[in-house]
Amino acid sequence: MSNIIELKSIEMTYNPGKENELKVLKGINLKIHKGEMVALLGPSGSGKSTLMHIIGCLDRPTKGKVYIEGKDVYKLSEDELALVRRKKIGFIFQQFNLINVFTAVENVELPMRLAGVEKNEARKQAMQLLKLVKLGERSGHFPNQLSGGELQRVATARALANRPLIVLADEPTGNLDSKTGEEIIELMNKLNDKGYTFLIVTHDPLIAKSAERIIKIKDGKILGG
Amino acid sequence: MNDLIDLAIKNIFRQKTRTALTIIGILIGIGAVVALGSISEGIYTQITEEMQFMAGTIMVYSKGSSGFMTAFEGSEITEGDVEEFEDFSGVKQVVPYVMRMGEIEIGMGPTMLIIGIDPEDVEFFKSRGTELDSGREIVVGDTYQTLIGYTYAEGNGLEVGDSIELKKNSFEVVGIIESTDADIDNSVIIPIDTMMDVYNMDNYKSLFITPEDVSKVEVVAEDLKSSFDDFEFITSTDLIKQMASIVDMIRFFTIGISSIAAVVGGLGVMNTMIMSVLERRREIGIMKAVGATNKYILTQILIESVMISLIGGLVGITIGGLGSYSLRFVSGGLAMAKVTINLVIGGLLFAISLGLIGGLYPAWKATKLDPIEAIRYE
Repeated sequence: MSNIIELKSIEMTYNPGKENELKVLKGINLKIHKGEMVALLGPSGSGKSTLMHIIGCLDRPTKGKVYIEGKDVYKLSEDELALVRRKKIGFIFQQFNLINVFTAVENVELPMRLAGVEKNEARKQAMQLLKLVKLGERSGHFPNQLSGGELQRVATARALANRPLIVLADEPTGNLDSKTGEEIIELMNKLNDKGYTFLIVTHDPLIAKSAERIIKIKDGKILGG
Repeated sequence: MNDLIDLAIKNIFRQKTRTALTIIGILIGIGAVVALGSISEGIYTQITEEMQFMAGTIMVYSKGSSGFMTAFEGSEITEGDVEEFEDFSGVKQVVPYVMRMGEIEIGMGPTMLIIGIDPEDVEFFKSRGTELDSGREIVVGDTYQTLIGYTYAEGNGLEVGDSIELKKNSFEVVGIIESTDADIDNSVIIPIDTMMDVYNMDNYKSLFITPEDVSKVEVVAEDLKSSFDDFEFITSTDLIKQMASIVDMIRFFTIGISSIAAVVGGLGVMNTMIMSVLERRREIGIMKAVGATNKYILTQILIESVMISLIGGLVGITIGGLGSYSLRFVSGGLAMAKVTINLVIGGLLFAISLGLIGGLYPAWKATKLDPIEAIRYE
């Protein structure tokens, strides 16, 4: 299996050199392979969200390198990083983070439209993705007309737009009741079977159970890594 | 780009009241620029049209009176002076006339001018762009006949064949002069001899001299100045110089003051956009997370602010333009406002630049938003 993402000696320090200096990550090495479903486990404050942001090109590490498809991404400018996020990364957040003035299908279209996909084509693909997450008939609804589980499905469909290299999910079931949470896990497993790579930050033992690989992180270090 | 415009429309309708108030702020400013600007343009046009009438001639009045407009009261030119001017080298024609502000017994119209001219000189006035709307000119032999200006006729409901009264003397309206946008629109023209009789005048107030060679008008004026100490000789070039500085000052004040109002409107746009960016922090963060570049975010905020200011500008130009146009009717045609294409384009560009400048800071703030922070923000 080929590495799609590789982290080398990642360190993250907030407020370096100041009184309130905080070392969040202390030398992380990690490889993620194509088609994997990886769960990232750890107590709160362990640095797992920060690690996810670094992989997602949202947060520049203090030290170390992140290679996405062999490319050292933090050599890129802000706007170039945005392009990497647009094309290579799909995000699923605990808070869903949909845009409230957009309908479900418009939310799913957004990354494609940003990538310059023509309007009708983007609409067609967004509808297909919504069908894939079993929300085809609710495509015209606004976020405030959807339930929590439905919102997370829309968010998942959005994460799949532009066929990303990896989907990063931060506590995707954290805001859902257990039954709905299970449905989301089931959905992600199904998508993983279709070839999508997932990295899931979670507390949820169910997710951890269904993952192929579990990475435990504590005090900014990978346990046993 | 279409997406950005769609999104901007969605966003400006989110806070309808705030958007409406911001638009009103801009429209007041731009409306004032257009309304006041059109008034100074109107004054400028009116003056230049009157200057047209003067082109190629020299206006003469006696010294001691303080200037162009007040000349009519103090100036005295005798028949003897007229003969002297007629004999002067380079002079082709001397056209005397008398003029006074009129009080007329009928109607309540705005102040009008009574002008006395020699019927023999009708050609002189005709050649200067005064055409008849109806009726005939006054001709040699006319005494109590009058030609009236278009606005004056309209304002008093007069037609050819009606009569008007000046100092208890009845005058028959024989002709109406076509509308010219100049003072003549509001005047009553009668034969000079009758006028001097009716108003007990012994001397002419002012006269026009035309040179034999029109291109030498300035030279002849200089010659006259050095030969006659008691008279002022004014050419249209002199007048335009005097007037231009006055008009420039009016322009400076009207457009300057209203621009301040517009800039205040622009600050309103900035305030609204800052609020809007703050309220949408999370949304902007999400957009960045899913791959929107800073350039995209910047453009989005700028389109929104320009859209607000553009709507304000368009409505302001319409209201300002209509307002200044209606001034023409309220003032009975005396105050001329002219909405020029430059004023409209200038107003629009002004509105757009207010939107751009007002949107720049909030847009820049939006690009500086850290998506991680913004997404966490509830």
